[in-house]
Amino acid sequence: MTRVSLIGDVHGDVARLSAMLDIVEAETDRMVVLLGDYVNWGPDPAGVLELLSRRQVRLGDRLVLLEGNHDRAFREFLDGGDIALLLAMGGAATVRSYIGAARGELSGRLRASVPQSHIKVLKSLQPMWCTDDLLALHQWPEDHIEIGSRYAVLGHYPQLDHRPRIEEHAAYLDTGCGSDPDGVLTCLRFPEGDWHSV
Amino acid sequence: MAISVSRVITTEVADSVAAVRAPSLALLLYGSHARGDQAPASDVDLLQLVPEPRKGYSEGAVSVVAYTISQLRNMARAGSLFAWHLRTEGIILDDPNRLLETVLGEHPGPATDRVLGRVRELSAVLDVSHGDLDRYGPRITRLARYLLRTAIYARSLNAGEASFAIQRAARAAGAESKLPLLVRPTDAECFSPLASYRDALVDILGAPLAPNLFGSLEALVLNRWDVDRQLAVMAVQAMSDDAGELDYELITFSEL
Repeated sequence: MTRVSLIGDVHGDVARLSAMLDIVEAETDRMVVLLGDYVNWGPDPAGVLELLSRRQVRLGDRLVLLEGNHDRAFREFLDGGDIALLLAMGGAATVRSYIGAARGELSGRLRASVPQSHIKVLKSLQPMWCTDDLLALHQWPEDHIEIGSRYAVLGHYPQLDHRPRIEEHAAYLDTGCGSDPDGVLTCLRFPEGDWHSV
Repeated sequence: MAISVSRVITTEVADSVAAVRAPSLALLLYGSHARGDQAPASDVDLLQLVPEPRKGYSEGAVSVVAYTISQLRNMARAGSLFAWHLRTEGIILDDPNRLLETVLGEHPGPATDRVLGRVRELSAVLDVSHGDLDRYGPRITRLARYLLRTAIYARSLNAGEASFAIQRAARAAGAESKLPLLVRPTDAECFSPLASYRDALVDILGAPLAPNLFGSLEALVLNRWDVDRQLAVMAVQAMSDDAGELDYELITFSEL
C-alpha cells in the first residue's frame, strides 16, 4: 500500500508550509500530497508558490500538488480574468505579495510581476489524485463522484476548532492555516491515520 | 419588544413563505408589507435566519436576506439601523426558538452618529475621479443610493421619526427633495447620475465625501482590505455583480 502524507490548505503561510515540508520530506518512503489553496488570505502567497516551485524540483514525482478553488481563481486571473473575482476571495494578500501596496491600475502590473516559475506551478496543479485505497481532492465536486471503497481526504472545508475532522470514509484537513489568525497547517498520514499540525 | 404578530398577514405575505429555501431557523417580515403601507408593486421583504452563511435571494416579488445568528447579533450589537428597522417594524412569521427576539433584543438603540460617520468613510467607493465610472457606473450608483438612504434614516431617527417608510424619513430629515433619488428604479438604466447622489450625500452629511486615495477601486480594495474590511468589500461589490465566491460572512455583515 502506498504510504502518503497529506497536507491541508496553506493560504499564504509560507513559514508553516516550510516547517511542515521539512518534517514530511524526511520520511523518504512516503508520497507528499498537498490538497490545494496555496494563495489568498495569508501573509505571503508569492512566497508559498516560490517554495512549492523549489520543492517540485527537489522532490520530483514524490510531490503531488492539487488545485484548490483559490489557486484556480489566481490562474484564471493570470489568463486574463477579472481581478474583482480574485479580490472577492481574499486576493488582496496575493496581490500585495507580488506588487506591494500599489495604486492605480493593478491587473497589468500584477500579471507582469508573477514569475514564470510560479505560473508553471499553477499550471501543473492536478484536480485530484488517487491510489487503489485513497482519493485526495480539494473539495467535493458538484457532480456525483464514484470513489468506490477508497478513503477520501479533502481540504477546503474550514474546521473551526483547528483540528482535522476524521470520519469513517473521509477526512477534512483545512484547519485554518493562513485564513484564520489562530489556524494551523495539518498533515494526515495514510494509511496510519495519525495527524500532526504546525 | 416592538416585534409583534398583531397585524393581519395578507395573502401575499402568507404565499411568500413558500419562496423560502430550507434550512431556515426563523423568518421575519419587514419593509412596507410589515408596515402595511405597501404599493401594488412592492416586494415582500423577508429576513431569514440560517444556520450557515449564504447569499440572499429573490423569487418573483419575494426578496429574502439571509443572516446567521452571529451576523445578525453583530449587527444588532453595533447599533445597526437595519437591525433597528427589523426590531421596530418587523413581524415575526416563524421563530420557534425565539432566536429573533433574543438577538434583536440585544440592540442598544440606533447608533445614528456612528453610522453617519461610517457612511462618510464608506463614500470613498463613490470617488470615481480616476475613471472607474465607465466600467462600474451602475453598481457604484446602487451603492450610492444605499448610502444615501442610510444617511437619511440616521438623520430622521435623530429628528425623532421612528418610521422607516422612506417618505416619512426623508421628510423628517429635511430631505424630501432627495426622494426621486431613493425610489427603487425598475432597472439600472433609470438611475440618476452618480453626481446627484454624491451632491445629496454631501448635503445630508454636511461634510465633503471621503476621497479614494488609491487611484482605482481595485487599489482601494488592496490597500484597505486589512484596515477597513467593510469598505474593501463594498469596493469589491462595486466592481462585480457576481462577487463569485465572496465570503458571505463578509458581504452580509453590515454595520450600517
